[in-house]
Amino acid sequence: MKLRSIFLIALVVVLVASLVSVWYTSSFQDFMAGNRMWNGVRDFQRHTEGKTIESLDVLASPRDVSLIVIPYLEFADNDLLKLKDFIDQGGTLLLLDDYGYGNSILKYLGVDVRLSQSPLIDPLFCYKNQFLPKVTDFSPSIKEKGVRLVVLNHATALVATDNVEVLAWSSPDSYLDVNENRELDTTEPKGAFPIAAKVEIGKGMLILASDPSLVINSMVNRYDNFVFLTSLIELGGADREMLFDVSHLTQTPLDVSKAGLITVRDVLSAPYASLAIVFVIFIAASRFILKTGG
Amino acid sequence: MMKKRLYLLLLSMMTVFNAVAMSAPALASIPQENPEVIVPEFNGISLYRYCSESIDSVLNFNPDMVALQMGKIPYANVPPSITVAINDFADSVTHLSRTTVSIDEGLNELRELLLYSRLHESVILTKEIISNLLVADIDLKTAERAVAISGVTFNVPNLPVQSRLRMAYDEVVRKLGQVGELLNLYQERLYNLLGSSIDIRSSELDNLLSEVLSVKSYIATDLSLNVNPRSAYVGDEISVTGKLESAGKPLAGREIKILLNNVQSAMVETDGNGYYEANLFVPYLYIPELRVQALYLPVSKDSGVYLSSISPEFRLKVMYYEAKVTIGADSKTYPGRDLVCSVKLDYGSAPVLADRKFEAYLDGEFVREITATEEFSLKISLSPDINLGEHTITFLSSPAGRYAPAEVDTVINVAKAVPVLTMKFPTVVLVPGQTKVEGAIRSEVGVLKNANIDISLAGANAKLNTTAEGAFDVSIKMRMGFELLGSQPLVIQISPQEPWNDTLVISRKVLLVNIVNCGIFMVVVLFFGVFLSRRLKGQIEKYLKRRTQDVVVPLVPEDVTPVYSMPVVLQELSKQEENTEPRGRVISLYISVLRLMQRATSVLMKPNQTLREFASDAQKKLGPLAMPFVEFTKMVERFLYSRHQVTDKEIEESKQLTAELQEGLK
Repeated sequence: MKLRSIFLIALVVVLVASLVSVWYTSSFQDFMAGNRMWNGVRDFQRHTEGKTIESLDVLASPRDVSLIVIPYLEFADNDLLKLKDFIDQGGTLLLLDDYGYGNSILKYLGVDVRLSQSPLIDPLFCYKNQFLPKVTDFSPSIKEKGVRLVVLNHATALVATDNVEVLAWSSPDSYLDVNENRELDTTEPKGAFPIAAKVEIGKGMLILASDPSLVINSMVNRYDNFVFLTSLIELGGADREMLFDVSHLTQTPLDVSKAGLITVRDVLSAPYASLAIVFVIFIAASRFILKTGG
Repeated sequence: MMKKRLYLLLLSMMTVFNAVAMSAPALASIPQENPEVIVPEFNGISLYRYCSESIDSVLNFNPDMVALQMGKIPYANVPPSITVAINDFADSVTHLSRTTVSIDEGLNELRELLLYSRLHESVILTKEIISNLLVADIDLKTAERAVAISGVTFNVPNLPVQSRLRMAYDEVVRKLGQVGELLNLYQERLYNLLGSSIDIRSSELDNLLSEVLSVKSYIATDLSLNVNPRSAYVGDEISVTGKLESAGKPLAGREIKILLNNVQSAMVETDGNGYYEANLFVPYLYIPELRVQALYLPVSKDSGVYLSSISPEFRLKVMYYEAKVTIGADSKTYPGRDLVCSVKLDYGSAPVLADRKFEAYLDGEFVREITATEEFSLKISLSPDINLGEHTITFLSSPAGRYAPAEVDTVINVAKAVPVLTMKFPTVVLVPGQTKVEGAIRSEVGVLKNANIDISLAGANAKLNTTAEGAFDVSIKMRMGFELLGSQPLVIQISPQEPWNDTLVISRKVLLVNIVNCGIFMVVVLFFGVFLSRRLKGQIEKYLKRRTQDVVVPLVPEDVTPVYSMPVVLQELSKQEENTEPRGRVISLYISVLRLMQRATSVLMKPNQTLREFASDAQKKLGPLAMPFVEFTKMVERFLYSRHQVTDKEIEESKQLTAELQEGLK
């Protein structure tokens, strides 16, 4: 067997095996829909029947859409513009952020409210440790949905909330650990702090929560977290299509590969591509048959 | 060896590929942690600080704040071993905060009662205060015990006094001590009011209290009460009379307070015979009865001489007209449409009030006013932008004289009507061509007039509007595409003009057949499958034939025929065999060996096989004869494919090789 043939066979085998591996291997990156582990958002997406979007270009019919954004990558100017247009035309944006680029979005949207970006710590009313604060104070609109207890995970707080409607507060025992020494110092602000709020912009609505971890698999089904999230989404209107933006999340090569494979599959399943594949297979088969003298 | 190399290559390539494809990025970690694997951490300092703040609220007589703070305690992150104790602490402190307020208020009230010599009420109230003091003491002890239990769990007794946890714990204990001091103070105040200290835990408390209080020499008074009439309509005048006596003697010129439901409504003075009389109006309260009482409180010269007295309670039956109101409204209504509410009033045997005013409210906002008598209907226009869901319609009528206010409300559900589409469309659509789609749309409210319809099928699109009857009819021109045949969605989107109708998007599957593409595809298949394969077969045969005749090697002299395939070689060899020249003789010898070789090894020369290829195939079965045979083959090739002139020496060598091979093959 010639070296060229060996290399070709090896390449084909590796390619096929790798594609199969990529297709069936679960993602392990935070907030990825394909991630079944504790830090994925598979459960949330399954429960809400949300659709993942790779780009904000696909936003259409904003009046019927609720968009969830976790801005862990910086937004380009054209993406910010798309977000603003989306809300102005009646869309509902659920912005979940703690230490990401949420403030640049808020600034662009022209609202005063900001994310503190200092860790919100509650040493008493917490789940297991002080970085997972329990929230028990809600506005009537959230309370009436049956939300009694929500647990956050390494969250921050909202500040400058004078011109927004606050929907939930941390406990009075919580504080912002500004110097991150895990202790309450005399200069550090003490609770209660707003952790969720809404503000109407144009025809649409911006809903803000200071912890994106609410949606991960290990948190979404804890206490009333899921009801809380759906309550937030439904503030913009019930029965809306839910889109989950992953274009501003850090993705591993596996996630990129998976996304690429899905794109390829979609392309190949189109009629033209199917026809081309049939044609190529036919030619290859004919050549093989003729070569072997069959 | 080759296999090993292949496996190694496969393994290394897969490792590299998968490492690249599945590697984690070198990014900062996301700030979150897996709650399942977190080891619980408890913060005693925070717990004790929170408890201290709650006790502060107790000391500040703020029971609502205490209830709010302690209501959150079940959510606190505390070690499971002290959960019960901490919940007990929360319950006892919450109760304690309310009890201390009651004690404080009770002591103030007792002081007033004793001031007016109200002995009997004082005894009752004193017992209540004592009961509260005992309960508060129990609550305090429960709280102290709970704190002590938690202290053991947090190992507080073994901590240095200056440690923050110890200090926080000591603060709670100190504040609970303050609550204890407060309770002691209350007990002292009680003794002071009673004039002497008593055993508040005594089983003879009633007698004890009567004894303590009776030491004071008051003269009892008696106050009677008559109300006429016994029942009255709201707004009517009633007469209240009675007599104030003490030991059978009338008390003249004393102030008598008339109370209606514990609120002073009038004050009169007794006459020379101790009688009093007051005329007052029944207030417009529209409640079925009023409690009427007369109260005498000794003041100035009577204070310290007479005991206060309160008359027996008289329950005045209050009458008024009441209408039973019923409302009828559609349980489901639509944005932008009128909601018709029908209201009916039933006065029963009461006279009907003409021209009564009603105000209509939608979710608490005034909508309009209507004047009606017994029955009316009201149209309320709902805004096209009204939120979908439940809304409350309320009708209110203010009180008018003897007529009590009337109020009725109902919940309506505002929803959009779902359009229903009846449609005819072909299940198989040919491309190119025209497809006719027709149908009608209506909802539970009526037909959808002039609704925008957007129909799309495989890239073809049609926009139209429904007629006044809600019907539509359209032919969609199917343009050429690259599709062959297959199922395609026929998507119909309906956008109604009316705000009360919902939009509708439906999708139906149709079989799309592109006859042109299918034809082309068939032609291609036929071309490749029949015509081309035949042609290729013919060409291959020609090619094979040509290969047997072709001259291949351009480097050899023109007079030497390049031989490559076996038939040609054999043909050439046969010619050389007849030749008596040296070259021909050598080849003749080789042919004899070759034939012998084929017989001996059963390896036959294949078409297109060269001498060297045959030698290669045969040498596997020749063993030690392989070397001379290969050597002989190379010699013959050299004679055949070059201008080399055969020497005598080479003839000798060929003879020796032939002999050697013949000998070996025997």
